[in-house]
Amino acid sequence: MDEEQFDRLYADSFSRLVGQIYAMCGDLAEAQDCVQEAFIRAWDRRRTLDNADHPEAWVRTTAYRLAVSRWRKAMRAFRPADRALQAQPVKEPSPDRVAVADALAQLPADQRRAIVLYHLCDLSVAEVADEVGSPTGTVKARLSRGRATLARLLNTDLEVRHA
Amino acid sequence: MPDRIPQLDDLASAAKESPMLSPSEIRRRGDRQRTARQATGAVAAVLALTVGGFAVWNSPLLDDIRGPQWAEAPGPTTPTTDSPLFPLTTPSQDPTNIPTPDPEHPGPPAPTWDNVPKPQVFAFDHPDVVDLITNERESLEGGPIGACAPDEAGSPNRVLVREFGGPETADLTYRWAVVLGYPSVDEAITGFEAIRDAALGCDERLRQDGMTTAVEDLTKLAEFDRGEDTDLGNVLVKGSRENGSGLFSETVALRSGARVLWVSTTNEDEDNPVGWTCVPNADPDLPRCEVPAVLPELLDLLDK
Repeated sequence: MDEEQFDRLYADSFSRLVGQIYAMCGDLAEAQDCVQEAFIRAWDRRRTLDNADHPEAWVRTTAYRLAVSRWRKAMRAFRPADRALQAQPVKEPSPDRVAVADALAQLPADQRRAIVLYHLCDLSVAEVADEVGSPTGTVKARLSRGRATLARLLNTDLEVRHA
Repeated sequence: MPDRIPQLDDLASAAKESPMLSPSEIRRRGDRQRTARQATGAVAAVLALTVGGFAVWNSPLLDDIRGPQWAEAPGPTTPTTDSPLFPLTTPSQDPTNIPTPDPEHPGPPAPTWDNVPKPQVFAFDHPDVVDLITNERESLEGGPIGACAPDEAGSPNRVLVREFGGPETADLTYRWAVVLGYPSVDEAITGFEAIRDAALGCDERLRQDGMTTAVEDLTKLAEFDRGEDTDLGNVLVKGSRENGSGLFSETVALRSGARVLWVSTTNEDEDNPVGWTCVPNADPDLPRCEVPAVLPELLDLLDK
């Protein structure tokens, strides 16, 4: 992957990936950081990226892993006094966004990831299974349970059929 | 095309307002990261050469060059390995061989040979037939690690490889137990993923060698109560050639904190395809695969 190809990938997909990771981890600033770091690693290891069938999926998976890892570290290192050091969001999100973010936060991580990959990233069930490393049956079950929980929390109908 | 969830789209659209660095800045930081990694590797190589040179200088082989060491009386030696085959490659247990942490930025403690499984742990149901250690080394260089190894396993700062051969065919290594220590959990995750992904993509590699292949991700079957801050991967790859020969390659990768244990088992048979007659989870009819069966013990060993 040369500079031009990399720059195009970065420009085309950065915001989209931040949105997807934000939906998975619930923290916009963290999502920005993780996607940015994933792109830095992507350039650092562009030979790996050359071998990846879907470079954007590679960056997304790396960013998601970084987000999970940071969350684990934060959970280990968290002390009440640290609250004062946490960055405050620049802009207040709308009530609707807060509602859906809260609802997503109540899903188990694997269901949330499956929902985002399927409904936001437009991946097929097979592609979701490939990206998360689980059988398609497991992904279908996660999607079904996740949608049911989201529908209840958002008080809406999210019944969707998939292959 | 999957149906959209409008609320989800709206949430993700918040990212459109997010600031982003210029592509050139991203590339600059990537280049810097690569340079730092290569510098770390170079320092490690110099250290290894220095330690190795010191060991050679002190070895009896150079007694004639150094002149007589009258004060040195021969003392009793303690074998450091249970392998009689490769005594010269036995790693030093000398603490100088272990990277010294930077006192200002103490990283995770580096693993030692005590963290690397010995053959006995895999012989839980046949303790009278225990594999032999065929080799030990402190680098991923110097020989393959099974049939499905990645090109690189991240940037470990400590690598310990113990190779096993069957008791009757000790010259034929078929299992590699590797412990990798990383400077951080993030880098360990990168290494773990490289190992797991190489196994998941190994069928492609074998296909290029003219084999018909199948890959199975058995991680779910091998799951156990492993606690937080760990990752597990268990992948089986089968390859067969038209002449009936073939191979089975099992990869088990286990990350705990900043360490990764990687056990690769590759059985190849030129005349008859080797049957993989075990399963990762407990089964009333089939024997349990040796590595997944002892994962709790391996995790304890890795964390020791």
